[in-house]
Amino acid sequence: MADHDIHISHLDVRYGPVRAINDVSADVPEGKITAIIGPNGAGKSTLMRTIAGLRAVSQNVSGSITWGDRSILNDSAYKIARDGLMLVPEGRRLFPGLSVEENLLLGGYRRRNDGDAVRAAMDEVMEMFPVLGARRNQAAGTLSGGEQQMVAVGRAIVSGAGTWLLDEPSLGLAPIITHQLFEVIGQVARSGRTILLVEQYAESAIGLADQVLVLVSGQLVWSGSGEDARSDGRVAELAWG
Amino acid sequence: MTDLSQILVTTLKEGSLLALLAVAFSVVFATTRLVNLATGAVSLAAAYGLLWITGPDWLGGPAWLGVIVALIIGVLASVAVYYAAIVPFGRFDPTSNIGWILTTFAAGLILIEIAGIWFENRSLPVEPVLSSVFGWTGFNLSGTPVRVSELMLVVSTALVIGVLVWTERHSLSGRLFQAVAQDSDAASLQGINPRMVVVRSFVIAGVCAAVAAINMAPAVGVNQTTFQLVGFKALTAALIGGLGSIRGGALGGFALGLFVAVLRVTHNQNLEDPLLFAALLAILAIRPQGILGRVAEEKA
Amino acid sequence: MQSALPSKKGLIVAACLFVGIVLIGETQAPTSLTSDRTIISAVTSMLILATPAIAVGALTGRGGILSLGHSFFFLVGAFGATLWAQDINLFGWHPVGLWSFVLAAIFGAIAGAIVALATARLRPFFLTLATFALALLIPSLEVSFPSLFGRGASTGNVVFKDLAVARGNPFLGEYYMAAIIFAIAAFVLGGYLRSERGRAMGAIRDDSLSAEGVGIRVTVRRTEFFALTCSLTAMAGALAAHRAAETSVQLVAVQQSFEFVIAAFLGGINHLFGGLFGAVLLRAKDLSSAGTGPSQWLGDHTFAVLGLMGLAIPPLLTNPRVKQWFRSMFAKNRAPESDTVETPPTAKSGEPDGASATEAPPELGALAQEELASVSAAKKAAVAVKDAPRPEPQGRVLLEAKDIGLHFGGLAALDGVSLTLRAGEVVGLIGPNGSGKSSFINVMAGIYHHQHGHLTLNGEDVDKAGPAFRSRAGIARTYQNVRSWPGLTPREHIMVAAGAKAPVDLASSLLTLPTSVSTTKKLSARAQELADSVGLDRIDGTVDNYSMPSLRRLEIARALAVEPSVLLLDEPAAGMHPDDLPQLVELVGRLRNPDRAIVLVEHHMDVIEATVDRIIVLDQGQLLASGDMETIKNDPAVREAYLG
Repeated sequence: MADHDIHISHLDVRYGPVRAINDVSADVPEGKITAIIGPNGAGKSTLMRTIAGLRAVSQNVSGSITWGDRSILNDSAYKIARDGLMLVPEGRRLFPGLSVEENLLLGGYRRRNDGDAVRAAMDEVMEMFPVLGARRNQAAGTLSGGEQQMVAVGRAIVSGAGTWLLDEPSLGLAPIITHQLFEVIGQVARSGRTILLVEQYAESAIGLADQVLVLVSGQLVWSGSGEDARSDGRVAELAWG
Repeated sequence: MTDLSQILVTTLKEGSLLALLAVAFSVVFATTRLVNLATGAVSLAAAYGLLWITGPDWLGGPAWLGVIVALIIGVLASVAVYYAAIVPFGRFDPTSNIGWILTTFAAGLILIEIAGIWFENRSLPVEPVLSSVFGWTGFNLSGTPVRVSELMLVVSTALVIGVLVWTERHSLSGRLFQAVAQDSDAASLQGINPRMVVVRSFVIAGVCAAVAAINMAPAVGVNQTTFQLVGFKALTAALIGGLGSIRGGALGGFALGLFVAVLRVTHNQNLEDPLLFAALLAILAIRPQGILGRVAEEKA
Repeated sequence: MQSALPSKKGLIVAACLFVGIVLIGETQAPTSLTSDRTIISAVTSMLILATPAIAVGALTGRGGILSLGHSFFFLVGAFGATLWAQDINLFGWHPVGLWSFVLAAIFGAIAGAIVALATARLRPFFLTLATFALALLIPSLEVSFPSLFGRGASTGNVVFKDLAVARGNPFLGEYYMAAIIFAIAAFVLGGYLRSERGRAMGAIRDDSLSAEGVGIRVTVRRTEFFALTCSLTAMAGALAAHRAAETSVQLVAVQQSFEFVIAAFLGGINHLFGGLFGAVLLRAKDLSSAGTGPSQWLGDHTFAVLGLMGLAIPPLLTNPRVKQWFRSMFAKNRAPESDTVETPPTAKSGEPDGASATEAPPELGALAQEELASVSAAKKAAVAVKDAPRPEPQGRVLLEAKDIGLHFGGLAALDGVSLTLRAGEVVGLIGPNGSGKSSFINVMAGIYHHQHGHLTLNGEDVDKAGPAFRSRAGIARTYQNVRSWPGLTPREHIMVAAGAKAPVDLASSLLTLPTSVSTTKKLSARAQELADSVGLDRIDGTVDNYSMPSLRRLEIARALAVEPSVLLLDEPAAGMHPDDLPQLVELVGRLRNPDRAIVLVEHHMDVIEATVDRIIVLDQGQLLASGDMETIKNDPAVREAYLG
């Protein structure tokens, strides 16, 4: 049952004169962690946003993206998310004026008719990140960066989605918190979810991944298994830029 | 005491109308960040709906049917404004909501014109929808008469705004407005269809405008200038309370109602309009986000 | 948006139209008339509408400000003409009527300046709402203060009356006056738009943040331009009052502001004479003398017609084909635009695209190798630059940041960061994403204001100063996400920056005096010089077709134009192809100057290595390390921060 794998083929994304993604083809296999690494400005975030259906005004896209057996290149973001492909975007993008609890609740919007499952998932999140339980009613905008990232990941957990795109979850976080976060991600992956992870911390990402893709200047310059990436030091160097 | 009770009654009466329309402005602003200048025109369209059903020169139907039709027309007109004046110009300009001020105003003009063609006469009186309950026509509040129709205005306003405020605070669908307003992209990443939420806000605005129309039409007649003017006053109220907040809109509406009541009791009502619009100008200059509004930080 | 300068073609069309209007007046002159619904008065109304329409059009097109309140200033003009002017009789002869127009213009400018000053700091959206409030104020005034209205302009105030009577048509006087007012408006607006001030307005419209960043006083410019359009509108209002022989709200309903805007949009807000075309179209129905048939219907349903136009025009204007047509019609005669398309940034990807990722690894390896090769090419270029003698970084202190702290809500973006910049040095600023690099740049440039610590520039305390002040004091910058002004040509970008510090005076700008013309010439030459120095060619097209490296170069040239002593380069290599990096390295090397300090934020370590004297590393808003490249590379904390 390959319902949650993602196939990208000959994907091109342009913003006006800038070619952000240049003929990228890749497979994201189900139930595995796939890491995309590469220097800043390589097009990693653009790739993630394109998969999730977020389209900038001046953006031109060609090629194809399929998820399971369905083409999602031209679907709107809410349809893709509703059906269980969840992007945790760069910079977290919480609803700053809403409380932690409300943010998490909205994460469960796609299965809002299954109140029990949402409540159970919320309890799970509070257990996973005890600090969020204490700040349940605090506005998300007033949290620290690490706590905000926990809410963002928590939102994805509450959504119950089977496929996750994580865009730089470590952005602006202290190493220790990043470490914790990666542990959670590993835990989530073991529960059978498909994960596509974009990271600037190449070595941590490689350490976690089953498959590694290296993106430089919008082009895929290397791809291989996690072991290959771990044994070949040049892969991390490519991402260092 | 008469003055005080008169102030109270006028505040509630005027405040209710302004609050309803201010909420209509606010709820649309909450999801779209745009000021829908067609709000007064939507209200007028609903009033014409009421007139069409109940007017003795027209269908002469029962009042309850008129109310229903007015509500339907209000909702349809409001959603029509969204699809005619906002959707096609989503990418109008780098400063896009400036363009929307223009197009919603234009849509309002067209609505008024269509209604005007249909009802050749532009200023028509309407019978009160509710003039008595089991023969009871009203009461006196320490010398100030309160009619049943006025009571209905206050009660229906309290009902509509109460439901909205409750929903905003206590249900998931209330959070949707805030979510879409705060970060529409992030909302769609949670599986929320932002356009559906926006349409819903226009439906609510239509209901508010229609309820205002149903109560206002019997008092002032169906008259395009009055409706437009009340609409713009309500915009002032919405700005005072802070655009985008339902509670703010209601608060602003009653604050303006109080202001109007004091002017009337002190026999200064001729200053009402200029003071109101000067206040609008002053608020924009001093605190554009309103009393309850928050400052949106611009990013570099 | 296109620049609002008239093209030759457009000018000729407008001139023909204008001559045509005058000719209509001449041919109609001898006719004796009974009703006022005649050709001559219809043309007069066209011109009275055209004046505010071109003013509102310029305000929207060049200033990016949509005003729904110009009917208010129209009314101010009417008051200026009728309330005061009739008592002023300075010379005791005829110009008494003309004085009323001067007064109207002054009152209009003052009222406009007050309104603009009160609201100029608002975002354009609220500014539009504020003007709308003004328009609403008018009808309420008549109800409240009836005694103010209905004051007639004394008949003697109608200008050129003798001439008109002599020519046998009493309506000719106001007709000539309308033409004169329009001509003044067109001349003054044209002069302003062509001058340094007009170009600065274009920059403010396209991106006020970077406009402030080159030293433009945004509020002052906006106020001045707004007041100018109000003044011209008021003159038209004065004439309207004379015509109606009384000042009444009937002259100026809310809808009238809307009419100005519609006329402006109808003719095109990107062209100076757009409003004239729009006014002619809107008033064309008046030309048919009998009120029957379509014109009757139009007259009865003005709202519907205006409303439909308001709905139909914006999408028409944004339609690419219509845009293209407008461009060819009105845009300045430029070199054929298709020629300005530069080679795409990823020119090398033109090779057969067999190297797709899912295929055999060897090919991927080839791509990776190529990538590594280009990296080492950058390093080679770097070595070349590095070998050049460098000045000792012992220059005087230009900028000193002490213990800077910056918080957003619960997030600490910067926490106790200090930096001393000396003349002649190049400092690299690195750190992971979200570590506070851009925040620090924004604090130095004055966009963010730090809550803790002190910032001094040339020994002067600049903690509270905004971006415009800091730019004038010598800080210039580029932006991580390019902030260009799409409505201006690359040359104009540099001219705006070079002229921001000392704009030409208002009078010469309005009257197109030689000072204004020669300043423009000087700036244009300076722009050419700077463009050459950063290796930028084709600077007279649009920036739409610029490649990323060209945009980066343009930003650097624009920053250099303010003659900075501190230059902040925020990720100049972001979005660039690795092939272009060696050139960037070479360019940064050339920017090195004994009187200037440069801060370079960069992710490409080879670019940093090739260009900087020393490096500071930020992590989570704190200073993690500082020193030369070797020290940084071997710093365990840095490796930890970068590699997690």
